[in-house]
Amino acid sequence: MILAHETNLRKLLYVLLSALRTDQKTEAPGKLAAQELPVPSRAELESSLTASGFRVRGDLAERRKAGVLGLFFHDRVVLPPEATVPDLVALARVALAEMPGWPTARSRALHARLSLGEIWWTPQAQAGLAILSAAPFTIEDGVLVSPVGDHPTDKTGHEGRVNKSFRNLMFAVDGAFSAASAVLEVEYQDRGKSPENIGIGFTKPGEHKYAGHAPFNDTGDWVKANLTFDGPEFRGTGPSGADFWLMIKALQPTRIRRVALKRMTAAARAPRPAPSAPSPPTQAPAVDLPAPREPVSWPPDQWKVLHRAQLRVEEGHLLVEATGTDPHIGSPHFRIKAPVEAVFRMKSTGSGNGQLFWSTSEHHFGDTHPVDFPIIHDGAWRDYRLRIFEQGTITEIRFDPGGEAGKIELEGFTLVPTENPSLPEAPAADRVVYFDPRYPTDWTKGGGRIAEQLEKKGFTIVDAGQLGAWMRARLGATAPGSVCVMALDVMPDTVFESVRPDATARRYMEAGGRVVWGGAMPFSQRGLPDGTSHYAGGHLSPRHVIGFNAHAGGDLSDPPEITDEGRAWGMQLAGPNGNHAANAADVTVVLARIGRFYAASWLKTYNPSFPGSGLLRYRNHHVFGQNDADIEDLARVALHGLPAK
Amino acid sequence: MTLPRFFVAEGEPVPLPEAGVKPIDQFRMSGQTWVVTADAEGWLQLARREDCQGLSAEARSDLNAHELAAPLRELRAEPLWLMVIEGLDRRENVPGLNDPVEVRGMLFGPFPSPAPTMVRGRLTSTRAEVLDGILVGSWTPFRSGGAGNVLLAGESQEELRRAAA
Repeated sequence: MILAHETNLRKLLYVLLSALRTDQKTEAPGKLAAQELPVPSRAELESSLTASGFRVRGDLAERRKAGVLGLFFHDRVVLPPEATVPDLVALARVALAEMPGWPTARSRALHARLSLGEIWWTPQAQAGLAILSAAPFTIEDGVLVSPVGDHPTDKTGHEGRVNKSFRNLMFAVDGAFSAASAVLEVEYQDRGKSPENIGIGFTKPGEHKYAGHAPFNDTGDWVKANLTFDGPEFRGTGPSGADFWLMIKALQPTRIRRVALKRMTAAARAPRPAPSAPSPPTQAPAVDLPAPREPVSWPPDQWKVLHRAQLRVEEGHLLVEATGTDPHIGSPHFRIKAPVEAVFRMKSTGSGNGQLFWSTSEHHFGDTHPVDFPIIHDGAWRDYRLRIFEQGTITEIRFDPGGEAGKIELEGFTLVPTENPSLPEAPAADRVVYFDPRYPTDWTKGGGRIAEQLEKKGFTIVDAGQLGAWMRARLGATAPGSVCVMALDVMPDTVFESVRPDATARRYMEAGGRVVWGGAMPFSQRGLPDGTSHYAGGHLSPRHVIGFNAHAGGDLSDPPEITDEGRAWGMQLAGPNGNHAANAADVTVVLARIGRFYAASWLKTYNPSFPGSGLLRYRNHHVFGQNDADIEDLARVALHGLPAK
Repeated sequence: MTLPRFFVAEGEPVPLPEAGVKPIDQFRMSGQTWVVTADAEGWLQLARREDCQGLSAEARSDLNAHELAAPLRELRAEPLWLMVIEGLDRRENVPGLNDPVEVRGMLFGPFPSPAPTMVRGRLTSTRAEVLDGILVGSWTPFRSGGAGNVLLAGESQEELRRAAA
């Protein structure tokens, strides 16, 4: 093992990134190839150009061509900006994240020999913690300031979460950090009166964990929030992506000056697993027996404490007393084939909403986004019935019965099999528009008009059931060349069964189909036939389905600019702003961009054998679909490159 | 003394001069705090923290500040080698992006050892390993003026795993 000292880190980073960028252009197209590389020394570059006969003015260097041509023609070079070490380190993360075969076994073995007890980040310096996509946060007077949102209330109908008024700040944890339990420390300052200001969640390969929240400070003083997490061993994945995120409520600006992650208990000294490896299900049986379709329940004394709770059994029911924030309890191991409903009785004198997580034979708790449900805390027995959105075999339940205070009693918890709704016959059309008046919508207010106009252009209108049947019929060779325009911007339960890439809509895109989406964030809510929407994980859930954070750029106020590719696709209307902008580097084609780094309209292709397929994010209007010009533009883009009819 | 497997020396190792004058890194290893120092020539040396009382007041102050600024990294690295990077050379282009590279420079070690040596040579690595080594090492508060530390593997994965177990 070698600890090497380099006196010019910028130059070393530049040499490596420059070589990688060149090779990406010829061997394996990647994000680095699409980005301008800042130079280690602008002065050296300008000096070199001047020596070659260029005259440098600002960011432009010009040189007359030799001979008579010089009267008419100049050589022009646009000068790249000068890099800082953090600039180049950020690009190095991008390069490593998309490097095939990385991390190697040798790299993992090297990381296993280095450990950090505490890592931290401040706007001035970092030690093992790196911010991913800080925009739209800004740095003012040396501290990080969150933007104030323009959606102070929840419009989704979901109780207990104000998903549109949060700003997410993602952090990557140095690969050398590992812990069995740790505390996250955030030094912040704000003014406000909400019980939940900074929410904190952790991820690890194959798992996501909501860790809790800190309240608004409301005094203007600098305070330190400490959130503890324990349970599954935590290991940073470094360059492979975000390991935890802070969700900052955007009612008032929140100022953050330091974030630190401290190890409380060391992780076991085992070779670090590859970041892409899924977590194995706990206590999984060695033989995969057929899962029964009988109701499953267990005696109350078989519940176990997972986090900050005390349990006892009285008169045949379970008493749960919280010993801290975010108490949760776990079931014994069982097997039942989904879909199921959880049916139980509960009385509570506590506070907050409840959550139900589950594991399957293939996915651990973190991969199955919870069902959130309101609890009536009146001390009386109440009946609850929760639908669990899952397709596989459920093997464990994690039950979060609300906030930190009060007493909860639980009785008769049973998982009851339900039937999949029978799907209608799949329409034969290969161009469909989804519109179902029973189902909810969010920002798209002109769904009926979109459907009607597209029908005139040869599309077939499908409801949620028909959409499910249509996509399932196109999970094979019939997907390429087909397109589905979503005229309602809440993905229905018939194609969004799980917050994972095995959801039918994602599998349809992987098979080569095209889904065209306007309005609010795709895959953040799940629509139900009673007209309500289930909060499926908010701004983070699209990442689990579509593979990246589609909201990485936050809500940008600058007007988008249509790119050459966008014009080639027929796009003429870029939209007024960059709400829900994605990182340009995360998508396959940028149709409209905001500045150099963000995409307002884009295409993400999942199957490179079928260029033009995948998720086409067409603008992000608050009120989408209410005029014919919008719909004409949408139709042009939706049909681009498809066989003429 | 056996040099790291992926390092090719350009000469015979010679004894390393005694002490450095300026600390450039500090970490924990085998239950002790260790300090990397550089002398006026840029040669590196590793010393126990308690043996650094001979350093200048400014250097000792730097060490104190570093220790208070952030918890120290822990390395399971014996034997550890130090290196001053003098250049990076590309080797032949191979299919894929992670081409081999050669890190040129002066190697010092092994540490801890009663008689560390130094020798100039080339360490074979890859582009991704060097980038990752910068990410892992780039957090040190000792980084200043564009300098920084890079953690690199000198051995095979089997040897690294064996040493970590």
